[in-house]
Order: sequence, then structure tokens, then C-alpha cells
Amino acid sequence: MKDRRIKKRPVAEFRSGREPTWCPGCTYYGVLTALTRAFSRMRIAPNAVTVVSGIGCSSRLPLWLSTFGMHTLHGRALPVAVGARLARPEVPVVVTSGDGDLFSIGVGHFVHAARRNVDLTVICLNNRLYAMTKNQASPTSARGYRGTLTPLGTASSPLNTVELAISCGATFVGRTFAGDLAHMQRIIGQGLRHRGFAFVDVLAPCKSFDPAHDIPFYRPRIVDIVAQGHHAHDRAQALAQAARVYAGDIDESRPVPVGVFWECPGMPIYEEKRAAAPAGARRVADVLRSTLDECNPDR
Amino acid sequence: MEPVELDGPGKLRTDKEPDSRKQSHRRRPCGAAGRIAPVLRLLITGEAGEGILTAGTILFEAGAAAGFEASLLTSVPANIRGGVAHALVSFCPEPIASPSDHFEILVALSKAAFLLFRDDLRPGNHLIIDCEIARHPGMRRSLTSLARSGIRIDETPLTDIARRFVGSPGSRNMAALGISSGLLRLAPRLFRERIRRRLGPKDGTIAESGLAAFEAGREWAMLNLGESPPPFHARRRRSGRAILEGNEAVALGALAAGCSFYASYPITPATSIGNIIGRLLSLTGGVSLQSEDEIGALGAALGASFSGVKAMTATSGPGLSLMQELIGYATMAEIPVVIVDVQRAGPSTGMPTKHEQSDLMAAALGSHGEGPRIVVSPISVEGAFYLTVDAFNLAEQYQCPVIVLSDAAFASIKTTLRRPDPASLVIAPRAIMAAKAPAADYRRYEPALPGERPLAVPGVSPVTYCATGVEHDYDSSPVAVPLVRERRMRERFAKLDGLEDRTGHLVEWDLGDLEEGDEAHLSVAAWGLTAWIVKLAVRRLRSKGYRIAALYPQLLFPVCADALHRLSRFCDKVIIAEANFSGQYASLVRMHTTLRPHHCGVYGGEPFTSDELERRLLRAIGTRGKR
Repeated sequence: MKDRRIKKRPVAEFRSGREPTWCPGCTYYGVLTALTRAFSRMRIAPNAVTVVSGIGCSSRLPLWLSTFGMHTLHGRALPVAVGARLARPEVPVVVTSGDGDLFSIGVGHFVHAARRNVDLTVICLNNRLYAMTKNQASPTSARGYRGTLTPLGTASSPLNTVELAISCGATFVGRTFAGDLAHMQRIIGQGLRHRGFAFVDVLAPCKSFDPAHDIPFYRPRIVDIVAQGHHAHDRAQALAQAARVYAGDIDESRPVPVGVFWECPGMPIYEEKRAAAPAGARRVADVLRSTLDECNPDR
Repeated sequence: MEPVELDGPGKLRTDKEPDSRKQSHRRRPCGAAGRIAPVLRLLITGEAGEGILTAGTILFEAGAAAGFEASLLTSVPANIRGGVAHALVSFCPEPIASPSDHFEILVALSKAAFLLFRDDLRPGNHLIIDCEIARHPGMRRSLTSLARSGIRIDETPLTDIARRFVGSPGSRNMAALGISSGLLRLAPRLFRERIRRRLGPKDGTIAESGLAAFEAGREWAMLNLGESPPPFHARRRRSGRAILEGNEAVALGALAAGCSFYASYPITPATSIGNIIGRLLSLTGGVSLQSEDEIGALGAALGASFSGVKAMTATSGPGLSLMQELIGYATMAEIPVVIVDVQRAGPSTGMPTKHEQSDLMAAALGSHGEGPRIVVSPISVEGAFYLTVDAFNLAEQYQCPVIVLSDAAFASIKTTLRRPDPASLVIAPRAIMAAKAPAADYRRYEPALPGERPLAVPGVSPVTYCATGVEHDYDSSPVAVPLVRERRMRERFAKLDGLEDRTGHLVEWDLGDLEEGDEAHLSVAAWGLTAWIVKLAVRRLRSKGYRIAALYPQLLFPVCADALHRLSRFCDKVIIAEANFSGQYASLVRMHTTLRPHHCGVYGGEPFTSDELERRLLRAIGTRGKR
């Protein structure tokens, strides 16, 4: 994606000038900054990238960017992004969405996009709840979370998005934390540069609806697993680390792991299926003519 | 990707004026409203899985190769095995006026199949039935009573013939094909290569024993049955003809229109559109994607369209239901896309292989909220090729979803037709804002005339925008202010103003020799396959002295109100024939015009026959009185 012939755009050029409608102090502002910095650093031009989202606070993000954007339907960012990638493999596509959008209504599409190893970067702004609709539990909420529709507390364990991504065939799986701008920029940048399906889970708490579990709550527990010696090319290790992603919910002394969990470069990407026939693409008129020739009643 | 500089709105194809419009200016004496060509129809039926369709298809192809105009209408159950299948083959010296009408010859290979069609037999018809079936208890009495009412019956040793050659009754269908070829005096050379091609590899035993059963059946017929050739000659060999199937015509039309992205999820009876277009796109460097579900398929098509390519998906009723939310998104974000719905009997799973025209309401109005979209439906297989091109042109010009309605019977109708001419097409290009265009504030959604609103496309255009489903102003910024919202709603609907005027070629008039101001006995409208079938009924009624005004709209929604009002001036009794229970087009017509049409429907899973329509239209005239 990085091409030094292309001039580097200043970070501000990636902002659309629309005032974000996020709450003041929302952790998503940090994600927006990290993303625009990553775009700038990689010399991506705003008119040469498409950012696709679903519905939710997180999914408003493309509206604040000056890139091409598709603000689609709840849960449907991924199939739209897959179509965009297959139609124009030379245009990078980033999906910015939330935990509910990607892993509740959208979980089916996530599984298949990852399985196909479409060259996409999927960034989950994970606040572990539904904020736009004013505080319901999401698939990544801690067990016992009291949302408006689960007033007695959820009776299920959180969906482990990191584990799911690895098992579904994603070839880059990273996790980062909205309280660490440099870390976010690094992990998101790695995801953007990865050729294949890259999933980045961003733990980005919601100060409006879950103030108890805010940035200061998580920060002391955050541990980068690669800094601790994790080998991201080792799948067994990756899954073992992934299993611990929400261990801290039950035992607050357990760390909250971030970093690159899994990286499998060099796998074929789904866009490669698009290659023209061995002899090169034939003209539509020729193909039509020979097809109609075969439909001759005398054959 | 080539950005295209706009040099004017893409022109919709206007060179296919319907013939009847020219004819209506010539006065012709009543009763001579067009000679109706003779047709021979043979229906072969038996248990599904027995090769009924194979036999019917080969017979159809042989007749076409002999120089007849031919059509093949099939019906199968939804299972892989079991149930009754049938194939209706029609031969005519002229283009087939209707693919669905009463048969003259019935070839029955199973008792269940025979019982299904027994009550349709009429005096003068010819029944060919396997001896084995005739031996079943109760059959003798049935056959005797049929013979007494003037039906010619031939009990044929299909099972014996088949057993002789393969040791099991497996080739009965080929024996029946042989008998048909002998009866109709169609040359065996027309059949042999086609049998080999369809029954397997050249060295395979299945093909050889099938061929042997065919030859034996033919020999038996030549020795034991009187000849019964079609009462007309085949035309001399002519050029410029083709055989196409309904779904095939749609697939080829899409390719010709410039579609280079196809996404779908398998569903009966739309899957074969994907089979065909997928193979062709792999040759032209396009993309064919099997999605995880129909929502994924339409989502991918929209992502592709936004990114600058013409995109399509095809599905059936259940898939259309799933796609409703995304159709609303395409409407709000104004993304061009073509959605083909090959309708089948519903609701829910319904009867997946059976004919119905009951998705019109869902196609026109399905999805919450209100937004403009276009719905079209072809009235012939040849028309399906050209109409699919029109659908893509309309999607580009009006930047909205366009739904093409086909159906389960139409999808698999094969017919001889004039070979489609891609060179004659006018294609509305994808209007892409070029790289050199001035990078001023881009107002993607600012109203403009059809075809004059270029799309900015990633990686090419110097300006960008966000295609959002939230209510938004011209530059795609979200808005929720009442005055702005109201303006935007009016502007979206106003996009389709004048559509009826610009798409006159999508409405076919059939007035016989009626002129403006004349009074007809009846006004008739029909759409899709029913329109094709009702044409013959209308001609027959005219030949009996009735004055009928008929309209066959291919543009179904927005409703072509001007045309319908004109139709009602010929006769205030308007019948709308369609294969559904509740009169869906009739309801739309009531919603959008002053007409009070009567619904004439079928909903058993099989199309109308021209015969049945003639009777029902006559009954409708009868209740008015003939003038």
C-alpha cells in the first residue's frame, strides 16, 4: 500500500470537516486520530481508499473522514466491503464498525469474509455495549452486564472476537487499546499493511454508559503480549493467548492482553480469484458472439 | 478502469417500436385481425427423475433443427426424485404465439402423470400411454371411457422396448422419444447426435443404450402407428436464429449491458443465471461471487457498484424478502443496481419450482419507508435479453435499484427466436467523474436530469463522498431538519418524473384494428409470461369478431398511468390477467390510476394456457353483452 512516489498527505487532510457527533471525551476520537495518522504515514490518498461501516456510534466514523465512505446498514459492512474489494482490487478498503454491528447481527458475514481471506482491514471499535441505542449488552459484554434489555444481567459469556477471528481464518489478528495512541497507530498500521484479512479489535470503553470500566480502569491491566515474548506466527500460542482476552472480567488481577496475536503472511487473498482466463480477458462482444453461435438451432 | 467524460445523457434504446403501433393506423376488416398460425403441441409426462425433461428437450431441439419455430415449457417438482414432471413441446411454422396452451398429443409414462392430465384430454386428442400403465387396475375402464369420447389411444410397449436394451426400464423416455419421432415423421438424424450429447460421453453405455431404445421406439411407431406429422411445413433453413432459455436471455443481456460483477446465493429457480453469467465473466475478466446469503449478495453488488462497476444479483422470492433492507439503502444512497427476481409460488418456501407472479408488491414497495425504484418484467425470451439491457440503462440513468421480475416457468422456457443483436444496443455508460474534473465541492446528490449526474469513484475521481443510508443533503452530510428532509424526499421521488414518457418502448400496445375513439368489447392488460400467453387468446377472440384492446407493460412500477388511462378509454371494463391470488398489478393500478380493473388469476403453480384465458376473457365479455 505504501508508495513513496505518492506525496504524503497531512493528517488533517483526512478529516471531512464535519463535527463528529460523539460525546465529548469519547474514546473513539483517539481511534480516529490513530487511523488518520496511519493513512497519512502510509501515503494513502483520501480519494484512493474506501472506509465502510455499519450502524452505531463507531460506524459514524466514515462521515468524519474525507476518504470515500459507505455508511451502510447494521451488520452489513462486510459484504459491501467484500464487493468493493473484488470489483476494484487496486483500492484498499477499511471497515470501521462496532462490537454489536460486527459480532451480533453481522457475525455471519464476518465468518465468511475472514474465511475467504479478503484483503481488508476490519477495525472493531469495541466498547462492549450498544451505545447508540442507549446501553444494551453486546456480544462482548462481560457476563452479568446489566443493559436496558438485560436488567438482571446477561446470562452468557462474552464472544471472544480474537479467538473467533483466528479460527475463522483471518491472517492478521491484533488487539489494541484506545488509551494508547502510539500502540493503536502501530497495530492499525500493521493491519493496514497486512495483505489479507486483518482484524484489529480496539478496546475503546464508553464513558457515557460504562464509566466504571473506563481508560484508567483498563490501563494498569494492559499488557502487550509480543513485548512479553509471544510469537505471533505460532497458531497454538496465538489461540492460547486469545483464550485469555476476557479473563480479567472474572479475575481482576489477570492482565488484559493486547498486541499482535496472530500473523500469517503470504496466504492467497480472495481477490486473486478475479484473475482473467489464462489467455487474457476476452472482449465481451466476442464472448457474446461465440455464446450465441452455440445457441444455433442447427447445432 | 476508464473514466468516461460525459457527453450527454445515455440514451435509452428507442429503436424497438412495438409492431402493433404501426398497425393500428391501418384499417382492417373485422374478423381478419391476423391469421393465426397452426401449432402442434405434444406434452410428455412421467415421474420426475425418469428423463422426461431430457426427452422433451431433445424433441424440441430436433424440431427446431428441422426448421420449425419451437418452444419448450417444462414443469418439475422441487425434489430430486419423485413427483410428476412434464414438458410441453410446441412446433409452428411461425414464431410461437404462446408457449402455454392445450396439447394435441399426450405421452404418459407413469400412472400418476396420466391421472394429472386425464381430465384435460379432449375429443380429437391423441393419447400415447405405456402398456404397463394400461394394465393397472382401473385403467382399462378409464381408457375405454376416453376412447368413447373421441380420444385416440395408443398403448405402446415402452417398458418392453427399454428392457430389451438395458435390462431395466431406464430408457423408457428414449423409447417414448423414438415413438414421438416416428409419429411426427421427424428424421432420426435430428435426434441421434443430440441423444449422444445429452446422455453422456461418446463411449458411454448409457448413451448407446438410450440411442438403441430410441431407434426401437421409432421403428415400432413407424410399423404400428399411423403417421401424424405437423400439419404444416418447416420453413426453409434460415439464418439469424437462436435457441435461448429464459434465464439465459437475462444472463446474456446483463453481459451485453456491461455488467462485470455478479453476486448471488443459490436459490431455485434463479441459480442458473449465476451458472451462465459466472462462466462468461470468468472469460471477460469480470467477477462472479457466491455469497454467504442473499443479503451478502446484494451487499457485495452495492459495494461493487459504488466502486464503479455495473453490478447485479439474481434471486427468487425468499431472497428478495431478505434483500429488502439493502434495497432501501440503495434507494437512499442512490446506488445503481439490478436485482433479478425469478418469482416462484409463495409465500415462504411455497413451491420452489412452480410458476407464480406474486412478488410484484414486494418488488415495488417492499422495504420500510418510502423511496423510488423501478420494476420491469419481460414478456418474451427475446424481450428478456433487451429488457435486461434496459434495466441496466435505467439503473445508471436514475441511480436507483431496478428489479427485473421473471418466474419459474419463464426461467426454463426454451424457444427459437431471432438471434439477439448486441451491436444494435444503446448502452448507458457508467458516468464516472474523471480524474481531471475540477475538484470543486462535489454535491453527489444534487438533483440533475437523468444521466447527468456523474459518480465519483475511488481511485479515479478527484473528489469523494460518503454513501450513507441516513437522511442527507447534497454533499452527503446527515440531516434531520424537517424542511431539508421534506425537500430531499420530494427530490428523490422527482428523479423518476417523466419516466413513463421516456420509456414508451417498454409498453407494448396490441389494439388489432382499433383506433382512438373506437369502442372495444373488452380491455385487457397482462405482464410477464402471462402477457405472452394472453396474446394468443386475444388474437383468437378477434378472429371470432370481438374487439379487444390489450396492453402489455414491461414497465410495471412506477405504474404507467397514461397508458392505462388510454386503455380504459377503449372499454371501461378492464381485465388484468396475472398468476397470483390477490391481483397485485390490478391493485397497483387501482392505487395509481382511476381504473377499477378486474383480476383474472391463476395460483396453482402452473401458468395460464391461452385456451383458458380465452374462455375467461369471453366470460368477462359475456357479462357485458356483445355489441
